[in-house]
Amino acid sequence: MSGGPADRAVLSAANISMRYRRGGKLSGSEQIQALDGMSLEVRSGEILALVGPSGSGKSTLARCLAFLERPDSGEVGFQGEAVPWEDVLAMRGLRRRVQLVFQDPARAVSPRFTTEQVLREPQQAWQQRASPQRALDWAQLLAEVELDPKVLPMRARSLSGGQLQRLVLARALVTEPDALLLDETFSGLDLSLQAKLANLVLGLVESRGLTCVLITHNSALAEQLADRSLVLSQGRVVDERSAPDASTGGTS
Amino acid sequence: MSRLVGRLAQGALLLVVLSMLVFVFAELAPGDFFTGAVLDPRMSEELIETLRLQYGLEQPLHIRYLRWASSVARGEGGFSIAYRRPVVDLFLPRAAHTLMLAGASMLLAWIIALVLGIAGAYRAGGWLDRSTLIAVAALLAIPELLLALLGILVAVNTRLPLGGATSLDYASLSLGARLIDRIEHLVIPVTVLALTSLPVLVRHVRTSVLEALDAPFVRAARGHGISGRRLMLAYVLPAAANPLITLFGISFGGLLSGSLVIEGAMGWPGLGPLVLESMTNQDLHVLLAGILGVCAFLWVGNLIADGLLVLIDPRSGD
Amino acid sequence: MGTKVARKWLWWILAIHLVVLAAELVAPHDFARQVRTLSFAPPTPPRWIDAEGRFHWRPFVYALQRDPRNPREFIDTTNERHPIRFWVPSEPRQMGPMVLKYRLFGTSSPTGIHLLGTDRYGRDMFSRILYGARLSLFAGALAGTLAVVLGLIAGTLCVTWGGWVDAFLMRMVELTISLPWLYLLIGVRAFLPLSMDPVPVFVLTIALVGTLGWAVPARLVRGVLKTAREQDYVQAARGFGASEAHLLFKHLLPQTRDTLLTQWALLVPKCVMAEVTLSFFGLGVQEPFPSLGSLISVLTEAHGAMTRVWMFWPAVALGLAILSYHLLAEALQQHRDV
Ligand SMILES: Nc1ncnc2c1ncn2[C@@H]1O[C@H](COP(=O)(O)OP(=O)(O)OP(=O)(O)O)[C@@H](O)[C@H]1O
Ligand SMILES: [Mg+2]
Repeated sequence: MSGGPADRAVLSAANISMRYRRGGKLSGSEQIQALDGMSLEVRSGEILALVGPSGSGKSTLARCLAFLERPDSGEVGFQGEAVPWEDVLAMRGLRRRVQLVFQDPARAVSPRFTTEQVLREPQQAWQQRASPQRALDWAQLLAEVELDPKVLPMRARSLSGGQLQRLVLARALVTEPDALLLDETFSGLDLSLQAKLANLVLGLVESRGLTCVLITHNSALAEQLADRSLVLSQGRVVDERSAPDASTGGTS
Repeated sequence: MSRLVGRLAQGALLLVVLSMLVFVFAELAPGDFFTGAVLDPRMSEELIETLRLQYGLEQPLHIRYLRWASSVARGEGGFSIAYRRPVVDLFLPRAAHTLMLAGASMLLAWIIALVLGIAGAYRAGGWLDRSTLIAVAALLAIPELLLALLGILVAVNTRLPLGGATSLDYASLSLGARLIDRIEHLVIPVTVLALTSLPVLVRHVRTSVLEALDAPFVRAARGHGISGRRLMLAYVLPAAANPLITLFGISFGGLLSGSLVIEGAMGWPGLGPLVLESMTNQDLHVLLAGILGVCAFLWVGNLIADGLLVLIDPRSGD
Repeated sequence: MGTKVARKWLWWILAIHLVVLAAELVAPHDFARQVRTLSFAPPTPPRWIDAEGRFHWRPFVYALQRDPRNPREFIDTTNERHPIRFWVPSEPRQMGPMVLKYRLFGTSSPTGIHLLGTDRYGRDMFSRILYGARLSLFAGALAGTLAVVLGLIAGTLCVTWGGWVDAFLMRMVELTISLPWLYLLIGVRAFLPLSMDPVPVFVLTIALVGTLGWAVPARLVRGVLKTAREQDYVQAARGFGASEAHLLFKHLLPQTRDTLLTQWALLVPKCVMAEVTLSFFGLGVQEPFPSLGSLISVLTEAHGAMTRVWMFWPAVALGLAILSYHLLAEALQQHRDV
C-alpha cells in the first residue's frame, strides 16, 4: 500500500492457454482446454474475486499465477515483468512471493508432519545462503491467525477443519508473500466459520498490505469481500464487475 | 499388409544385429570350444591347433561371421563342432519338441484359466471363486523347479514315463502305439509347465472380466434385463478380450523360461538343454541358433498378439 | 492387523537368515567332509530309548554300518551310544572375523550325527543344506535389495527427468518384462568364465539377478512418485521455493516406502529361485560348495538319489523359505489394501 501507484499490476496473465490431456483409452487422447487465451491483471493491494462454474479453469489459473504450472502459451507476469520460466533458481524465489492456499487444507499438509513441522517447512525448503531469513516469530504468527500454540506438537491432519485452515494460512504467511491466492478456501466450512475466516483474511490483507485473489463459487461472498470480480467460463474471462462501493455505489 | 511387411523387415534386422552382437560378445569372452579340450590328456597341443585351423577359429572375426552367415543362407544354420554336423539337424527336432511342450501347455493353461477366471468373476466371492483364488495363491508360492520335482515324484510313483519325448522302442511301435507313447511322455511336463503359468493367467482373466462387468455399458445392458450367457458372450468377453490378448503376447517370455527349467529338470529333449550345453562348451553356432530361435519365438508371439488386437479392434491398428 | 502379521513373518525370516548365517557354528560337519563308507546313509535321528528299551535323559545316536545281508542298506550299530552334546569342541575354523573352536551340537565321537542323512559322497546333508541355504537365501535377499534400489533410482529418474529419459526407461522396463528372464540370465552368465571361486560367483549372481529384477519396482515407483507429485501438499512445498531435492527427500520418496517393501518381499523369492536355477544348471558355485540349487539338481542325476527320501530335504527347505517370503509379501499387501 505504501509504495507505488495503487493500480500497478502485481500479477498479470497475458493471453495464456493451457490444455490437459485426458489419458485413458488407447484411441484418441481427448484434450481439455482448461485456459483459452485468458488475460487479466491483479492490481497491487486489491482483492480480486474469480468466480465461475466448476471446470471453468479457476484452479488452473491460480496454479499458473502462483508459478506452479507453466501455461502452454502466453505469459505470466510478476510486478510488470514476464516470469523467467527457464531460470529454475529465480523461479524458486518468485514462487515464495505468491502463496496459493488450497481448497482442502487437509490435503495441503503432509500426513507425516506435525503442526510445527508444517509451519517450519517454508523456511526449511528455502536453504539459500545468499538470502538468509529471519527467525520465525511463532507467537506473533500464531496470534495473527488466532491459532492456539497447544496444537504445535500435534499431527497436522488431526486438527479440526477451522484450525487446519488457519494453519495453512499461517504457513502461507511465513514466506512473507506479496500476494495471496485463496482457492475456494472457505467453501468447505459452515457459515459462521466462513465469516470468521473471511474477516481474518480481510484483516491480514489490511495489516500486511497483501494483494489477494479470491476464488469462489459463491458470488455473494465475492461481492461482499472483493473490490472487483472476474467471471470465468470455459477458460475465458467473460465478465468483469466492480464492487458497488468502489465505483458508482448503490446499484444492486 | 504393408505394416506386416514392415514388422517382418524390422524383425529380420533385429535378428541380424543380434547375431553380430553375439559374435562380438563371444569374442570378448575368454576361450573357445577347444579351451576345455586342452585338459584332455588324449588331445595333444598340435592336434588342438589343427582342429582350430580346420574349424576356422583362427580367422578374424568378420570372416567367421561371414562364413556363419553363408552357412545360414545355405540352410545349414552353421556348424556344431561338438556334434560335427550342421546346426539345423540338431536344432529342428529340438525346437519342435520345445514348441510341442510350450504350445500344449499354453493351450491347457489358457483353457483352464479362461474357465476358472470367467466362472469365478461371474460369481465373484462364490465358493468356486474363493477356492480358485486360494489354489492360485498356493500355486504361486511353489517355484517352477519344485513343481518340476513334484512332477518327477509323480512320474516315479506312476506308470508314466519320464525323460525324453519318446520311448526307446519307439521306432518299432505301431502308429497308434506311437501316438499313445508320445502323449504319455507329454503328460507330466505339459501339466507342470501349464501349472507354472496358470496363476498369473487366472488372476488376469478374473480381473479383466471383473472390470468388464463393471463397465458402464455392461451395467446398462444388465439394467435392460440382459443376463447370463448372452451378457457374457455379447458384452463382457469382447470388452475383456483386449487386456487378455496383450497378456497373451507377453506371456511367451515366461513360458520359455518355465519351459527351460522343466526341460532341464525332466530331461525333455527341447531347445533349453541344447542351448545350455552349447553355452558351457562354447559351441558358438548352436548357441546363436538357440538365441535367435528364442527371439524369433518371442517376436512371433508378439506379432500374433498384435494381429489379434487389430482383428478384434481395428482402431488400435494405427 | 496386516502389519502385525507382516512383522511376525519378518522376524521368522530374520531367524532363518541368522541360523544359516551361522552355518559354521550350527552345522555339525564341514560341508565338504566326505565319509566314503557312508554313501547315501539315512538320517540318524536323536534317540532317548536305547536298543534294550532303557530311557536316557541325554539324547544319543547310533553309528551306522552296512547291512551285511543287503549292502545297499544301513543298520544301527547298537553296541555303543553316542550322546549328543551341545558346544562340542572341534577343529578351529574361520567364521567371518572369528575363529571358532566349537560346534553348536554334535557327538564327541568322529562317527557323528547325520540329522538328514548323507549324500553320494557321504557328506552330511544337514550341514550342506545350511551352507547351501546361506548362499541361496543371501544371494536372493541381496539381489532383491539391489533390484529394489535400481528400481527406485530408475523410477526417480523417470519422474525427475521426464521427457525422453522417462520414455526410454519405460521402454526398457517393457522389454525386460517381456524377455524370458532365465534365458537372459543364463545368456549373460554364459559369456563369463564358468569355474570361478565361490565369492566372485556369489557377487556375480547377485549383480545379474538384481539387475534383471529392476523393471517392476521401477514402474511402480514411477507411478507412486507421479501421483505423489500432484498432491496439494507437494505443490504447496513447491510454492515455498523448495528445491527438487527437498521435494524428493521430504515428500516423494517417503511415499514409496510401502511399495518398496512389498516389492522387496515379492522379489526376494524370485531372486532366490534365480540363484537356485542357475546352480541347478551348474552355472552357480561349483562343487564342493553347496547351493540349494546344486543340492536339488542331484535328484535329477541317475545315481539313485531319487529313491532316497532324505535327498528331498533341500527341496523342502527351499519350499519353506520361499513360502515364508510369500506369506510376508501377502501380509504386507493386505496391510496396504486396508
Ligand atoms: N492436472 C489435470 N489433468 C487433467 N485435467 C485437468 C487437470 N487439472 C484440471 N483439469 C481439467 O481442466 C479443466 C479446468 O479445471 P479447473 O480445476 O481449473 O476448474 P475449476 O474452475 O477450478 O473447477 P472447480 O470449481 O470444480 O474447482 C477441468 O475440465 C479439469 O477436468
Ligand atoms: Mg478448482
